[in-house]
Amino acid sequence: MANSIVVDGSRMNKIIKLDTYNMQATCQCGTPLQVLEDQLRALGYTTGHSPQSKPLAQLGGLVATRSIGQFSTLYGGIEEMVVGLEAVFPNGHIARIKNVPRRAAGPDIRHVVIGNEGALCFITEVTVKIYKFMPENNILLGYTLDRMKTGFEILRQVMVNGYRPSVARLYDPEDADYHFSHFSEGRCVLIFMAEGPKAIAEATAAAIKEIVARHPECQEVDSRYIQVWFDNLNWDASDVAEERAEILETKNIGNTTEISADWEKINVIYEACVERIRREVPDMTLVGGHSSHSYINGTNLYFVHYYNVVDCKPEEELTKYHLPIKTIIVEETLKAGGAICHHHGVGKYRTPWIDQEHGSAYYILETLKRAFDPRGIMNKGTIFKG
Amino acid sequence: MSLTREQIVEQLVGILGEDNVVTDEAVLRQSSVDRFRRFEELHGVFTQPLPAAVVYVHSTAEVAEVLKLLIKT
Repeated sequence: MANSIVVDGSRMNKIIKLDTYNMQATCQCGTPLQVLEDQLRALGYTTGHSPQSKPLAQLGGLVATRSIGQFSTLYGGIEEMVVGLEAVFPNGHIARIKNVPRRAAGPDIRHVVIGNEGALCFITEVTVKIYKFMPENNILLGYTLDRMKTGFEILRQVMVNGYRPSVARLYDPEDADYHFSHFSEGRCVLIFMAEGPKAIAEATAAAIKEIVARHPECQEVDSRYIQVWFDNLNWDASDVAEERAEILETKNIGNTTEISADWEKINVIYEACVERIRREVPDMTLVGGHSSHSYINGTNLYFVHYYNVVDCKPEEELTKYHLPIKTIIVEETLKAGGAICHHHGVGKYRTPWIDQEHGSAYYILETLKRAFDPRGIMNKGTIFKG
Repeated sequence: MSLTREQIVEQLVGILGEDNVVTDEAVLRQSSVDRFRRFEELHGVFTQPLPAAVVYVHSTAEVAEVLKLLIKT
């Protein structure tokens, strides 16, 4: 946006209170999650939030984008972690949502703020739940298998039978080859982590083993391989710098697009998107993806797409490759009845489909924009068109 | 009330102080894009309009003052 103002809250970075009796931590918006998490772990606690961006992300942004972490299948997304918060609306009104364990005092107003992407208000303070940190009880399990469809069914059986592993991930062969080429051998990869109190972690791991054993195509992988992956989950500034150098050198660039759908639809969307991207978009070097966040009624799909940028100016890369890929994924997801944004937010590039995503319920969303930001000064073109 | 880019920056400096209002062109260029446009950015190509300023806020009250200014302009 020409002549816009970028408001940077990163210097509002104080941890206001670590309350280990009521199990909640209060921070200013610019507090890095890594700083909060390190302080909590030193005391034997954790937020349970572990997005890949943990070394770079700050609490306000994590809430504004409705983020999710790698342990979400146990701890939930950020929307299940936020207790209360403070936000400033475009007219300068400061709203504080108090910290209570639950209430039925009208609609849950936290959800007007969580995921607003700066289009309705600016988040200044956040209180999140904390949990006991018991990494000594973690149990990692890994398998290779032939088909995504089998993997989705195993994830479904784990969830519907009432188990809550913190990690439940299924990679297709191309994405598995990118992360696990030392053992995947062209197959899909399935990973679980059970955590929490020892007896619960052990019962969860035992049940997962039993469910997997019913699918003979699964082969167990040495858990040390999975431990190496687990110890290198996140991206810090040096990873970002390394990726930038690689892109410049190779002209090969990768991006991701994440969606969600119920158990019946997820494999349909996966197969349709992979087939169409391979057929319609040139110069692809990797078309694949993984499921990394499961729920009782469905899961997400995190498409991973890499391509060589060939015969085009730098400013044409988006329109020649990235946007056509995103469009295919959004179209196929909408056609099947899934959600076009699972955890990266809408941003400016999925806003054109926001009304199709919500259908008749878009009325609720656009009314919020009209009510809180009638002059449209907040992050124009994000979530809301125009 | 319609303010020019210079007038907006001047008023922001009035609220936040000079040190917290950045108008350096290199910073504005970097702030005009995010990771989504990193291919063109890596090649030194910036296709998006530039913001007028990047401002650092230090309190909720400052955020409120900034937004109250922007809604009037």
